[in-house]
Amino acid sequence: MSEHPLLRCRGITKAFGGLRAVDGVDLDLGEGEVRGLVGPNGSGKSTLINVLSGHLPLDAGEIALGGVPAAHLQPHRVAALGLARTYQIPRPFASLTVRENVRVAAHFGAHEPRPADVVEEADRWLAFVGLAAVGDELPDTITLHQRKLLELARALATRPRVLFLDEVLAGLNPRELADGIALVHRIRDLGVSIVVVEHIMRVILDLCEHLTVLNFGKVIAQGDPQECLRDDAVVTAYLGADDA
Amino acid sequence: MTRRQLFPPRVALGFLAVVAVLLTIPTLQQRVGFPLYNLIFLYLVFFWITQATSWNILSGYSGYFSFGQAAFYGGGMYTTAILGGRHGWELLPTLPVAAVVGGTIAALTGLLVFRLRKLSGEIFALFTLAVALGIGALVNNWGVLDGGRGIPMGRLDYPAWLGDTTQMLYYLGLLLALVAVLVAYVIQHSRFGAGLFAIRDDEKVAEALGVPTFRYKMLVFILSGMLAATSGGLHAMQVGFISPDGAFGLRIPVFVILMSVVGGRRHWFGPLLGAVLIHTVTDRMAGAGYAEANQIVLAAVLIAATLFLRQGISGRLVERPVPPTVTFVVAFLLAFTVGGQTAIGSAAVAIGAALVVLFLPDRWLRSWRRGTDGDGPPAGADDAAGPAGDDEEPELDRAQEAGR
Repeated sequence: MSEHPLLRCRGITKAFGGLRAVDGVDLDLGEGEVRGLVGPNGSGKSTLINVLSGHLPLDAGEIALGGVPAAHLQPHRVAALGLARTYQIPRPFASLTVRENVRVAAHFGAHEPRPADVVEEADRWLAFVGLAAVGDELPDTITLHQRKLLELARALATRPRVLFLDEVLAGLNPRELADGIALVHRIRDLGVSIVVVEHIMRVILDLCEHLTVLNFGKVIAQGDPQECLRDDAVVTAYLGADDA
Repeated sequence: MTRRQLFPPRVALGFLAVVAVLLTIPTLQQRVGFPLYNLIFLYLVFFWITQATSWNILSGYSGYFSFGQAAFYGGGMYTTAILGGRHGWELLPTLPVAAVVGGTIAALTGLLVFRLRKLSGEIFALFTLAVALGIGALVNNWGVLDGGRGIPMGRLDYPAWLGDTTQMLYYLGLLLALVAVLVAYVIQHSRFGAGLFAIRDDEKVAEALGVPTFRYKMLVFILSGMLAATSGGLHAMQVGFISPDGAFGLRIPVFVILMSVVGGRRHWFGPLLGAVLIHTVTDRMAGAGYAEANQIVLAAVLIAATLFLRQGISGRLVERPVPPTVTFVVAFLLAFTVGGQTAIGSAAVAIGAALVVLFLPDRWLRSWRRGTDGDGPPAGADDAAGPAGDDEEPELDRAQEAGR
């Protein structure tokens, strides 16, 4: 972990009643880094994203984004600091066209730098993810794959410094998956730091320089992806303990 | 820095032309001597446009469906009645005070529903209704405000250049309607409007994309309250005798909702259309002695609009503006000249005819268009997308299940 990471999280804790969904998680993300966030179902990945993006109030811990304290901020203030996210199940604005969806993000998002022309800015991101042709469609008339790309275009149009991708590549066919991985590489090349939440190991190994593995809300392994996946605790978490 | 034009020349000219024509009507009425009732009728159209538009920038744009329009309308009305009718203020100074009262009621209500508790959907609607009824009960029972006796307006002073009472109501009503419509237009085409539309569809996602949802909801609520209250204050002059039942009853909220839903809630033009339509129908039914049957007609219009025009008349009109507009103009001229109808009667006939054309099934309009200018889509164009779309479905379901 570097001295001054872009995103610095310490001791993040969030409990629902007696259940500690996220329990003292430390997470750092450097400039331009792509980090994988993995763990079995219910290990706290989505809760962690919801806490970091301000949707859920955290019970304890510190968050700093670019050195600015970001805990206990309203979500739109977190977005203004440059944190964007996609949703596991796409949540487009149903009555707005694909293009208008992205325009909303271009209008708001991070404070600096404001786009000079929101319309052009939105079209730029639509083209970036390959949705220019369906800009005038309503979200429920495009395919699930396209709706996931819309999630990406919308998040990118907020001009993020840190981007959380919540299973944006799940449920795609092999061809779409290859395109998706290439797309994430292109996003990283823009200088955006990315946290990839994903179950597909091929994606994780392809994309991520570092890995954070969660189980029962706690970090059980952190570091090089290959080493993490060989770690005993990780193997046990995914496959269960060997009874023999 | 390039900025998109807020008012393209076509739109600006359209606004100016309509306002210029409307401004000449009182003078024309005196010169040519057509019935004074036309002015009163138009004032009421302006009044309903203002009320419906004020409701729509809150409830249509942001999706927070309010039943509390009467809280603002009645609040403004009682402000002018108490200051003017009881304490002898001139009319014009009471209107800004009415706006402040309306804005304050909105701000306090907004703090309760948006900050203290996050209410939405039917609970928000019920809460706003309770606010209106609660203020009505307070006014009805508290002698300082009214106490149930009602307030006669008497004659309020206003600048002489505004003409007689009917002309003054006409000019000020037009001004307020213009302000309301311009506010709705500007919001719809601005960053503010983009934020409100996002809130309407998915408030959490809007917030995550950086929309300051609380501030925007408060702002639009206060704007809506100020417009409605100012219009209510002016309307006190038209009503003449102010009572708690009239000011805080259900008539105003029901009508503004009806007008906006029929006209279309996603467009600044919607409540305007709805107000013209509903008021003209109501007026003609009452004029013909069928005031009771009017409710049946309005119910039928509402049912038809909700079943067949999900985005209201404006949504359909934006898609195909020409046939209904042509029908309206032709029918109006025919009814006025050949049919010997009054101006308002002709308008009613023309609206009816235009509505019929608007409600015609798409198929008929398409064949009409192909028949006239030959640029209709080929017959198979709509079907071509079908099979490809069907193929995506199973995969989509699987993927969503996997996502959970």
